[in-house]
Amino acid sequence: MSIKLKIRDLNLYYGDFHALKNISIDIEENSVTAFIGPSGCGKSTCLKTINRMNDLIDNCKITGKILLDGLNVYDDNIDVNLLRKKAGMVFQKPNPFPMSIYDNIAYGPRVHGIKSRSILDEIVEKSLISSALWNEVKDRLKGSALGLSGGQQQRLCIARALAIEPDIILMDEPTSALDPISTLKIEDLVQELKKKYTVIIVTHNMQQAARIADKTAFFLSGEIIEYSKTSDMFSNPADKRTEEYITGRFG
Amino acid sequence: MIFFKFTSIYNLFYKVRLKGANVSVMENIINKSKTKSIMLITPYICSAIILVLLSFKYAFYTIEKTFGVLGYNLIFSKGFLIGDNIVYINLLTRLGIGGCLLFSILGIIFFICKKYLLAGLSYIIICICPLIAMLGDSLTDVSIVDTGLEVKVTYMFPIAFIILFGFIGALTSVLVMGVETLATCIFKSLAFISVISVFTIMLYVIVSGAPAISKIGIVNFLFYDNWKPSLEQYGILAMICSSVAATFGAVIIGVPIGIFTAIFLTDFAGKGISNIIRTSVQLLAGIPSVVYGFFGMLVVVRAIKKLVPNQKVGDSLLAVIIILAIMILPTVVTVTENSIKAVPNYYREAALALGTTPTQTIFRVVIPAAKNGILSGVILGIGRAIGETMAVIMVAGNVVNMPSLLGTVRLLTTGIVLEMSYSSGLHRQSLFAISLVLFVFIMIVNMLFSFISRRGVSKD
Repeated sequence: MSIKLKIRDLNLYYGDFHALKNISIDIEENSVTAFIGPSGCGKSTCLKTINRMNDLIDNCKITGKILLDGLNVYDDNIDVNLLRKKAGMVFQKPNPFPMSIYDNIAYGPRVHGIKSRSILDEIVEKSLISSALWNEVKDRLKGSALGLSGGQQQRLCIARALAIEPDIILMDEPTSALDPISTLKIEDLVQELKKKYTVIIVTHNMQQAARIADKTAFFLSGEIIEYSKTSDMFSNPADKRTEEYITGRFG
Repeated sequence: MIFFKFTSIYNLFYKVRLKGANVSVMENIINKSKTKSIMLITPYICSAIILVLLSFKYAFYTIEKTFGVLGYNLIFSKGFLIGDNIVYINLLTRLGIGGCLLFSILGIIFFICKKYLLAGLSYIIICICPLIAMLGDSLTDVSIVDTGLEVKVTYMFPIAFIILFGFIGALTSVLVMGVETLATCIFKSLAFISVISVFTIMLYVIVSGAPAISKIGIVNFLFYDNWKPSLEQYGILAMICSSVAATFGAVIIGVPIGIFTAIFLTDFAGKGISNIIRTSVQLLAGIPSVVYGFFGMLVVVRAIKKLVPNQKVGDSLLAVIIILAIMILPTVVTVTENSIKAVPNYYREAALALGTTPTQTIFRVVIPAAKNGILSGVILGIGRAIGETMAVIMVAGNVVNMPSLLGTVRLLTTGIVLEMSYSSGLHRQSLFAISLVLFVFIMIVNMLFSFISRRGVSKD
């Protein structure tokens, strides 16, 4: 398998606070990688550096390299908007726009210059089918996205991210605000998505990581303690702190 | 009475639970509530009786000679016959005095029937009754001026006392039900003050404006462009059109500036510069309108006169529009800024994560999400523009013309103010009718926008 994303010696500071320390990690193409760790360990921060969402935060200083398909995303010549188009993101809380379901998904393509109605229709249908939402909403595409259930809204957000045809999908605790059944649906969806996309998922839920991830990285205090195949990590953790965390002794 | 109920419940409770052990303590509590209730009932009954008596008091009407009339008689008499003229006592005066008598008796009946809330309500209505009576008096004055008689009304009908005792009655009747209910009632009644105010103003405007419209004829009044009071011609079409044009122009210029300022403040400005802008916008809101008028006279009007070729006077619709546009800025900026700030940050994050530029995010996501708030800012702006008088009077030129951008105009508001001081008879009444038109305008604008914004919500 080829390497999709390389992070090398990444350091991140919020003002004086050293939030990420010497992160280096390789993410494989068409795989699901989970970031786990206790609250405040930097896993979400690390995820957000990949599509430069941390740029929005004042006092945030970043050193190191993130190579997406061999291109450094922190290079001065990189167009941030195109980068974010390549790296779709799904947030912790479902955040559809207050528009119709159709407009939500068509939003991204429209912003990136697609105007043709028939192409938009096609994209909307394709994205909704890929996010396993098509059958539930195909009769009410003009209805408000805010009228959907939490789980449906989250799948809509995934569809919205898919509509701009990203290479890599970043998920920041996508199921933490959802009920178990919706969670299960999203997990199944992630398994489907990895056939076409590279997925990185931050999760609080170790069982979830064990169920869906091919590889898992364990974060603690801004460092990656362990990064290995999920099955290896959960059956035979190399580091003592990892063992303590996954057996529930802290975190 | 309410405390008897308590006694029986408590007795039942204690017979079962405590078997007499602590009954003395409980009885103490019950006795206390009993004395408390009696303490409350006494002022209630007193104020009720005083109120009934006050309704019988004298009123003096001095028209050529003095007439002493019982309040009670005033309710049932239409007016006085003086020479050949009948001086009508306005219906509202009679209603006010009658209402006071009626509701003080009703209050007593409600209280005896233990409908404490209704009793309290009756006494609150009594507090309003004298105001209605006064309103009627001012109208009587107006109608008497027509007949050429001089009239003076003196009440032995002591308004302050009625309000005071009405308030005491309302307070005590509700206090019987406990402090918690009292608090709820106070919140409710205070909240209704604005409702009552609106309806009183509406009533006043309609009652005083309608007669002129019916005399002149609604078509002649609204759709003819011939305002010549000296020739008994009262067509206000030109003023209506000027008002609409001025407001429309002010909104066209002021709203985009306001919205863009708000966007700059929320999304692009650094802390220092946004503080400077915000402070100056707030300062703009605090400037009295007469100062705007001065600014208009000294700067805008002169500039128009100098910059536009062949322009003899600078006073014009354009000057009005520019001044009004500046005046509505603070409202639009503040309301828009607040509603943009109220848009949850995760909408922006989601938009940016989809590769949208910050400007696209603002126009495609944030503004649509904040549109109801922005619309309400525009409504408030329109309200301010359409009702503005002082600044307008100083720059408009005040000649009754159909609106043209560089011509002088007179708006509805200034039309009232300019002639109110010397008008009489139908002329004066027609000025009241203009205020009715103004009122209807504002109602239409409000309803239109609440309709639009509600439709916006259901579409989301």
